[in-house]
Amino acid sequence: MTPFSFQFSLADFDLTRLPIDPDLLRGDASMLAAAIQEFYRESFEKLGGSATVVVRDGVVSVAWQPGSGDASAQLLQHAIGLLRQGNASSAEPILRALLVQDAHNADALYNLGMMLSDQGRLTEAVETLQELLNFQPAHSDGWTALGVAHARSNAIPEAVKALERAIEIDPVNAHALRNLAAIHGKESPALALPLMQEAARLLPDDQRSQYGLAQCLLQIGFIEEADPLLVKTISLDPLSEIAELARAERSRIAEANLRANAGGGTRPDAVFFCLDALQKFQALGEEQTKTITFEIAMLGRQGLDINDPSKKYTLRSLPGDFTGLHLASLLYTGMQKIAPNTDAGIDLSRELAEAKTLLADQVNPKEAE
Amino acid sequence: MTHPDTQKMLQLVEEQTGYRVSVDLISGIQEHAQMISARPENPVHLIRVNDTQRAFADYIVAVQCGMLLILWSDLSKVPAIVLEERPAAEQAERWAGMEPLASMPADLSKKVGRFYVEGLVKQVQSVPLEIGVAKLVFEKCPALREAQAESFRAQLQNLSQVFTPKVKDSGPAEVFQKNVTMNAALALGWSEISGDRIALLPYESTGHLESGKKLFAALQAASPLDSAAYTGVVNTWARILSLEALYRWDFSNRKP
Repeated sequence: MTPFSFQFSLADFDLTRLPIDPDLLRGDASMLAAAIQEFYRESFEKLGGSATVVVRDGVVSVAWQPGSGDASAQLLQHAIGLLRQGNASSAEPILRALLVQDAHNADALYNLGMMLSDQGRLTEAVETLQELLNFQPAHSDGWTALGVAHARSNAIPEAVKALERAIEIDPVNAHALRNLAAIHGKESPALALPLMQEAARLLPDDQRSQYGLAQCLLQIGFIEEADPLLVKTISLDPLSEIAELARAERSRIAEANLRANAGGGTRPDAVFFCLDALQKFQALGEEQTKTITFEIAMLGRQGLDINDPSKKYTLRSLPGDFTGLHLASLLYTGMQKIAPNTDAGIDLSRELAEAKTLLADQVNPKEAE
Repeated sequence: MTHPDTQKMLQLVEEQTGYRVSVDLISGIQEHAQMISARPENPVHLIRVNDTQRAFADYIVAVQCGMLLILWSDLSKVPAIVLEERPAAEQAERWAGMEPLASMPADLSKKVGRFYVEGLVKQVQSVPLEIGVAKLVFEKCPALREAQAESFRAQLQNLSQVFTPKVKDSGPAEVFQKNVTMNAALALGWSEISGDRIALLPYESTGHLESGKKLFAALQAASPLDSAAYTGVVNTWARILSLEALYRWDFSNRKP
């Protein structure tokens, strides 16, 4: 079996991929050579077979003798693995070497095209993906990647055309549907909705699709249908940026409903819950206030259902059963006491102000006129 | 948290410690995460992940859980290190009198000397735990290995900056030696776990690997690493590095 070899300029090797400071490596040629040799030796050791790495005159030459099997297929998988780790600089020479061997290696072209697009090298990405589509015109994922590269270049008509072609070839290409919906969603949510619905159906665990569908529904005014999708968006990856956006959206909906139910004015029940909170926190002291507020804040990360009148919540730090609005009132009041500049996720300032007035009246009762 | 491996770690902590774990994001902190461990009056472990690191949250949370699993192996004796004020101040003053600190204004040299004392005590406390946790997470969370390798690559790269002349010459040689010896032990620990040898190169080429091996051997001898073994390893490392007078252990009862 002949060894598979490739070369690249030492200057193109991304030194940040190594666990040694790049400046230290640049100042020590022998350590640099040893590190790069070790990097490829370790990489190819995992594939089986043996690798020879030579660093000379600013050029890195790698020759790999596979133990068994299809060398190209193994190398392609290796390159895809490197791309998944975000190590594009190590994947690129391998993909290009595969293309030197076979210019029509569709998988190599597709992955190279996507990598270039992710790196923002959009002209090269479009060229590479078009090359793929010249001899594989029915490559639906290739058209999707081309559409994304065009969209990133702000070439929207070309992007729409490529994504529509991807869907024409494969009507259940969920990524093409989602990306096309995202483009339409900016101008015409009604046009985006069926596409996003299909993408969300095909990708039930894809946070972007679920959130995208929720946004379409919100833009059209289908708030009740959107809310469960926002809940799902949060549960799929609670610490992600998309989850934060979904939480903010849920808070806006809840607050709008709260005000709508009160005819735009203050909510008497929230006023009494705030009053209850003021009295409780006064009696319990600062430490306990912090503990209760903190526990509600944690519970509230998934969203408190403030428009449901049932007492479905319990706390470890405070006995009793609570409605969502009661907890939101305790949270808001507690936050105002311990960290007034922190966003409690809901604005109950008017309710709290009224509760404070009531409390003052209780402490200093006005004489009856 | 969504990753099954992380969920497993969270469950292990809840089972072992008897307290619930809550995970949140926080902004404006330097470190990757903060941990507020539970007390009977505040019955939840809070792990706060730096929001700039949210992409690695699963791995970061798994590491924090690993720390709890080791440090809380005996709920009646959870260890924490406390600086011994007088020896720490004396040591800071001694280093403040050494070059290059001696050439600085007196106020500044004292502050920097103190910074070194606190930094080395923190390092002797954290590196053995870090290696022990890395091993635990590597074994219990195979799906997080990519994130773990990425995290160690970045950390070891950062630590190797100490060999650049600008950093190396900025503190007393004694501080440099102690710091590099612990860094070498960390690189050895990661190499042992992952098979990655690249991180050892700077320590090999500067002759610091041997002293790192002594520390690492003490850690290996203490397997499995529970809280008692951990404090023993820290004490051994501190003796080897002549840091043992600078701290004491404080043990608290955290039974729910």
